[in-house]
Amino acid sequence: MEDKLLVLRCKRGSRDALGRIYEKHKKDLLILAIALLNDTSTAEDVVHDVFVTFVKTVEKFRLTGSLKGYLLTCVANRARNTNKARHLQSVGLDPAEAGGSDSDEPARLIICNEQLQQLGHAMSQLPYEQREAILLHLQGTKTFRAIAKSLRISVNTVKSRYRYGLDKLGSIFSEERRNETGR
Amino acid sequence: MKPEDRIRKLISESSVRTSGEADKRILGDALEHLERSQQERSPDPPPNVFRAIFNRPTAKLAAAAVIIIAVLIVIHQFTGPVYVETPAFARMIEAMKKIPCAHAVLQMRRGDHEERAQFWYSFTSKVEASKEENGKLTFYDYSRQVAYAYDPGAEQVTIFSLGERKFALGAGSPWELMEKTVEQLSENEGVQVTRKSDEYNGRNVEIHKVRVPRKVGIEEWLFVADSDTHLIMTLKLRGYDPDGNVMVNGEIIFDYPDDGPADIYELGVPRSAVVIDDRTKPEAEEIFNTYKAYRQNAPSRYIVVQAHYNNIERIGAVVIDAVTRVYTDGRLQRSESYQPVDWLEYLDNWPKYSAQMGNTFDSQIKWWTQSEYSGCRLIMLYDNEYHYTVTRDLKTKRWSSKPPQHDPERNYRAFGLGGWGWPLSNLSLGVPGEPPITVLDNEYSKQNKLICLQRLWQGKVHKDSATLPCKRLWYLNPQRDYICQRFEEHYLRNAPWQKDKSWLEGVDPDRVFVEKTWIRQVTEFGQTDAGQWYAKRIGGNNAVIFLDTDPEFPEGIFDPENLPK
Repeated sequence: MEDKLLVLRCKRGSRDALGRIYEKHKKDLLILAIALLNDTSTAEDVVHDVFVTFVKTVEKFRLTGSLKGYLLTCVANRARNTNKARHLQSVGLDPAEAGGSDSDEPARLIICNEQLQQLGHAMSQLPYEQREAILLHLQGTKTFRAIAKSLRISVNTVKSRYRYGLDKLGSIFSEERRNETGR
Repeated sequence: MKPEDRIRKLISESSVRTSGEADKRILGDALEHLERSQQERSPDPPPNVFRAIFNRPTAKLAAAAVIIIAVLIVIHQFTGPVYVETPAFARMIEAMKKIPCAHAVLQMRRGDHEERAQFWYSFTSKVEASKEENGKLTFYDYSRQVAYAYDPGAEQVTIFSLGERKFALGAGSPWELMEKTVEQLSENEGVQVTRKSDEYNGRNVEIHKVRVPRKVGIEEWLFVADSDTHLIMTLKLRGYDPDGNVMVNGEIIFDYPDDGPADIYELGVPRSAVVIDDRTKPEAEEIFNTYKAYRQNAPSRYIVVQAHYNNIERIGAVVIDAVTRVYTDGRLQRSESYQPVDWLEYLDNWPKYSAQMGNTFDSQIKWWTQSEYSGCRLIMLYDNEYHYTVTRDLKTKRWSSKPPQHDPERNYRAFGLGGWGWPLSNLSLGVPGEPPITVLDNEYSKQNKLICLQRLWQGKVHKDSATLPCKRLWYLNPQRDYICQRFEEHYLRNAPWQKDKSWLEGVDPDRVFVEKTWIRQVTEFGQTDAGQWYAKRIGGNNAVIFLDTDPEFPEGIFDPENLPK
């Protein structure tokens, strides 16, 4: 109900409502974008574009399900387009850029915790379509049918992508365990 | 644990913290669109284009030289073959040369946001002053090498050193300043210039319209000069996105008083305002000037290769995990980063690859740049005006590029040795709002016979986050050309230098940035053929540096057109 009210207020031009929607959902949206793209800068652009587009269409927007689910789908769609356009995958921090900042002012950035970095790293080793299926299902809590509908593909294809992705993650995690134990 | 459960766990434990700046970037355009859509109900221009075009000094009121630069860009257009030899142009040059002082009122409208400010440039008393609509004032007195800034919120005047800042970009007259800028703006393809005589505010004027294509969109400058005095009366600026939507609409109105304000109080600062003297102390200034003199003597044309090492415990070896090669020719720079194509496979077969690389610099750089097992995944290029970034997916070998960032002043740090102690680029004096540099006599500096410079930042609460107080220490080695031998950066929650001890009251702890400390230290020095010292090995980043100060650059290496697509 709160989201419906916020959307309604947004339609009437409330800055506070838009700010509240952003505050409420930014974490989930950024996590999804970072996990899909493994690049905080591009993820920030994606979330930025989603919010701008949301505002541009809010007048005609009708909330039929959850606002979070809708925004997550928007992020996934935008991230997919970005990925297609830029072919960004598995771009980590440049070693030359890592470490302390040399800017004139102390750094102010998006900070990911260790788990999100691990998530982004693990996902970056999968083909994009598999990442998308896994994250929309596990983070977006969308059914395979809903994912298939939004991607305009068959349910079986979504399930296959999901299953193959998890299989590959299983082997990646096993590899890591072997490496950690030296066996 | 099943992979499915592990991913679920990672998702549930994932957290992301955004700074106020990031929130502003993400949400700012959305809020702007929201307001505009309520008022205009009209299609809006793409927000990213907005940022791409107008993230420039000419669109920032805070940039002290905005007026002059704006004029110069227009004037520059008249130095082309169409106008340079016309009588009208010659008269304008003569008139501008005689100006003792210029006063300008600027109005800039971006979307629904409007900014206004006034600027004074006095060429006789060497004073620059500005007055913003929010009450902020600045007064730069170049004859006395001191500057004042007034913060109306705190009712506080801060005095600071001018340092390297030069009046009107080092020019002695408006025309000289124009010439300097003309030199910098040497090429502008596709510029269209038209001219007509007209009336403006009851005066006979000549109106020149200049259309300047930019990387994204078009800028249009309307330049109105008095037909009798030949002085600029007004300058109108419009910026369009690629679809023809107006992104920025600005106007600068000029008049020419005999002189500018005598001091900051004449601009309107109340005499009761608290005065804080943040000027750099003479001893620090002297050290800084010595440091800077050594930096200026360092070669500006070189190739540097940095090999980054990583201790991988599971294979019991220290491996090279990445290599960065940087070409530098004055302000031109290109950085290429190389990484293994398959990191796990690389580690598993490290002995084989290590043998392939060999032990010499030449054999190693050859392996990294030419082997099928490694690849260039990131190129950054600065061509003196734009900053380009292209990245590659090493598995698919496909390149992608980010929109070029316009940065004529080069406000970001230099690549390569710029940030590694030779010459160090992140130490400067006289930046408004920057805390002063002090000389610190601590145990480490005494024991190691180093000079320690310190700069302390106050913690700040932003709309949705808080930046911790920051301390930076530069340990300069007077025996090694004042090179920065050790650099420390500390972010502390309860910093003793934080003036307001209750600054975090009421701030959500989740929105406070984490404490961190970062230290890097030169552990081995090198020396160029000309005798200058440089960092050869750096701890903290585990980097080894190879420097060539007599390089042969591949043809077109700094040309953005040659970047992979």
